[in-house]
Amino acid sequence: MNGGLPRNESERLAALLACRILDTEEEEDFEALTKLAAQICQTPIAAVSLVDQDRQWFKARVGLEARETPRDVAFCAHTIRQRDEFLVVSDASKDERFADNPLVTGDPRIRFYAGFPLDPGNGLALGALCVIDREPRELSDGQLDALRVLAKHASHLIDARRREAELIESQQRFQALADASDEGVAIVKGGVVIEVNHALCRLTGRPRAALLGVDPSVLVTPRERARVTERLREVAEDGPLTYESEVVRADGTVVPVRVTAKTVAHGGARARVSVIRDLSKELHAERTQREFISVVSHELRTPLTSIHGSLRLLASGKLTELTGKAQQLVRIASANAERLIQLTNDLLDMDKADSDRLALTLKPHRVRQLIAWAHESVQGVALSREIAIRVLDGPSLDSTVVVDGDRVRQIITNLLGNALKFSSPGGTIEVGAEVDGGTVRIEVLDRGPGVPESERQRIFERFRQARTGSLPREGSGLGLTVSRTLARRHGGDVGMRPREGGGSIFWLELLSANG
Amino acid sequence: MAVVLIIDDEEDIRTIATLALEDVGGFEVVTAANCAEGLQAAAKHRPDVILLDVMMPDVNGLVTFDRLQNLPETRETPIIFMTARVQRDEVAELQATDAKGVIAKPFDPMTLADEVTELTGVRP
Repeated sequence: MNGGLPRNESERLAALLACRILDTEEEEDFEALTKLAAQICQTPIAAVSLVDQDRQWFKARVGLEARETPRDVAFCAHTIRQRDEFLVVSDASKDERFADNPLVTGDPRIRFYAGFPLDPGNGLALGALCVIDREPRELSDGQLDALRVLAKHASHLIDARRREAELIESQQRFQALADASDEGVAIVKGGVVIEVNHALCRLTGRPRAALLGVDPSVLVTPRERARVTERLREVAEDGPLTYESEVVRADGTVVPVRVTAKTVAHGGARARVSVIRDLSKELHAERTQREFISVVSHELRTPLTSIHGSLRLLASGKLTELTGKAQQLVRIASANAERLIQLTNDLLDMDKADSDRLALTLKPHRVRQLIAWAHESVQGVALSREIAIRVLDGPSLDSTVVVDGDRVRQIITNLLGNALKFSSPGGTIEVGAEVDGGTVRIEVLDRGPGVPESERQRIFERFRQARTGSLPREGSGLGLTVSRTLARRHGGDVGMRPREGGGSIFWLELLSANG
Repeated sequence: MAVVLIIDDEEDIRTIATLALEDVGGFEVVTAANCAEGLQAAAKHRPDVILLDVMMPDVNGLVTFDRLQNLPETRETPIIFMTARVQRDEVAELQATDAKGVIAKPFDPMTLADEVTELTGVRP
């Protein structure tokens, strides 16, 4: 009966739903507008009608009892799909479209109808502002003009509803996102907190209401306050910043946190968004791991002291003479005990270097001295294997680097140990240095089997050793990894390249104090 | 002959250190398994050097160190810590005491006597 659906009907229905207006309470603005329409047009009935899939629903009405009617008898269903600006039916009983409409043949016995589509601005008519009379009649041009203006106004009101609904949804989406996070989020503007998420409430042990409007510095322990205020000034000036601090919970307990703060534009002013991460679990895990590693290391070292000590004493021949085969077995056992000792050392280093706990004691050192220390550490092994270590003298050895002497000696020792491992008796390892701009490069050159290209990056990974054919595997496989981590902590690096004529060059690069 | 007192709760370690210091190094060795035995032995034998383990049950090496320092017989005796806890801060804690030095476990029995001499100046 309503003669089909408007073009873009599904789009139109979606737009109507997006306004969140159907089946809402009566509102003064819509009521006033409807009354005005009835008065101006001098009709007993007027309505703001919204047409959904199967009904028209009245947001506001004058002279009508019903809140809705089926769509297929609704005059407004015609208004929303016609091409003209508005629909006027002077006498419905004589109009073939409406003559048998139950609203015409029965109550409220409609004869006259005039309706203007309600289009909130997207070309989709969501309903109509209409005036209705029980007598046939016409509207003057002035009345039509007034009705057009009122319809436009009603459209604006509906559009405002849509914007409001979208805003609320967007806020809800943002809040859902913020609340889904395990990390606390706070927005600070004008020196006070203006928004927080659930996680921050949990972290601080305070409800949202207790956080909004407060100066965020009161959430920090007193001893941290001045420092945090200073850091936050840096955020305002320099952009994003991460720092660690302490938050006081409502019950007085203190939570270690990591804060990432960023300044953003907010409502024409600047606001600061801070993401606050609770570090207590991480720190606890770190402490536990550290204690574990320390205990395991101690528990391994004690029996290793006995095993290694016994074997060394046996091998020395000081206590008893061993036969050839027994001597060989003791030597094998002793070498493997040493390997286990090295593994426990490397594990400790690895753990420390990994967790950034490794504190570096930086002091100026001559490269010559660092190389000499490392040389001394491996001299015993070198002699026993009849491998010579030659230091290539040159002016670069007199350059200075600001490093942790023990750690850099450890790196060079690792590189020399690595070269010794892959050198044959009677061979020579060379170690030298080169200054290039702001960096000093210490190089260890061997004539070993070299490292296949496919392995060159991987040998610096954990528990990796290059495949070396018939050569025995030695060491824990952690030495080069530890070396790389230590070098990078110094702002340098380690690496390798093949040596011309066979063998490898392992290098350590450090920042030069002179450059 | 110079006397070294070894205080360590691990019997195996005492055995190896004794062989290292006596058979390889030429010292005379007495041993004790805990703090109380150590104080007793120190008073009785008046050692020239004390090698003191750190991780011992009941009374640990640091406390034992303090008690030895308070004993008139051992107030001047050079003490060397032996430890399997070798992380830098753990060693630093021991170095901050008046001990003559720290020897990390596992130690090398072939050079243990030399290390003792180097740290304390006491020869066999």
